Amino acid sequence: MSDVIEYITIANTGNSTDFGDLLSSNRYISGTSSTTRGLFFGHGDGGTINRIQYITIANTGNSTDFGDLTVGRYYSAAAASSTRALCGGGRNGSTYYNVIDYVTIASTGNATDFGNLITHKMDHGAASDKITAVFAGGRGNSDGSSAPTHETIDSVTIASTGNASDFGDLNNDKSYGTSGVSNAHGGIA
Amino acid sequence: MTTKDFTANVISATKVVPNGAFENSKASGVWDLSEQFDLVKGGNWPNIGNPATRALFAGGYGGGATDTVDTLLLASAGNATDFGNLTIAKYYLSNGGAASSTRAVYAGGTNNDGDRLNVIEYFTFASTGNGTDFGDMATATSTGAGFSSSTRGIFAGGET
Repeated sequence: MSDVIEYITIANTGNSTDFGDLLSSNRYISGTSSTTRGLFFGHGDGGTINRIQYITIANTGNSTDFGDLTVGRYYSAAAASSTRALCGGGRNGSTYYNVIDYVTIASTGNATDFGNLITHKMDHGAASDKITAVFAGGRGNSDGSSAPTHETIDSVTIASTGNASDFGDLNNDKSYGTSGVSNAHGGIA
Repeated sequence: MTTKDFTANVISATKVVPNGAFENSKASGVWDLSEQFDLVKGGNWPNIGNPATRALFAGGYGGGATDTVDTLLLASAGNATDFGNLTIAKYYLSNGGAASSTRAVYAGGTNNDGDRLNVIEYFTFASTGNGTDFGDMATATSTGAGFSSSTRGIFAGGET
């Protein structure tokens, strides 16, 4: 496991550079950001799996405690507008979650319940712009089984709260372990 | 978004039609001042539109690691379509990539042999196509997290 935080300059190809350290070595974490602050949600390494930690992207250094998820979990996925970050789904042991939490990025504090994904799942990807967040793919079921896999894409309106609605399906056979990004995440456009 | 037509007659009298939806289009041609005045007064001056938000979902596992990259436009519900391919098939890339408004960058992952990867690669949002080598992470990593500002990408944690 790693606690390393690395950075790159997106416009310039090259190797990554050391940024700082997470609060502990963490795997199965998810992350999202505004243009200034990045958040890490949960992890799969016991004890503090409900932990949210943050960094200021422009300044190298170690992460700082932000608050707690409503329920500890790992293998979640996260997305954000410029002001609000969402963390959806995930797993803790044999429990697969459909929970979506949200936090206000600029402040610190515990997460608040936003609503639910359509299905209980882990290992999915997420992407967003200033209006919409989507959670795509994944696997797992409310009965605690790791099957079935999901090629579905769930969407929510970030500024409101509520349950996810069906957006569509992924195109290729990539049910889980995919990674999402967009050209307007976190308020960059 | 409605496609708009713009006329031009300084360089050419040929009507210039943007080559796509207004928000993503390019239109060559030059307007003279009277045309500009008319277009502004008519509310048709082509102000720069916000580009449509494009999301990418790269790699994953479906009976094996995949090199496929799917894309969708967040403004329109619907199924994802093919964007291109990663340099190699992998899953558990950084959970979230780094991106500016023009470039998406992905790091790490696990290949079909179960080996963790230190590869960083990038895609250009405006052009469908395959990934290009960007550089290397300090350590081969999977199941970490990624995000970015508009200029700086962050990758953290994961299995090594």
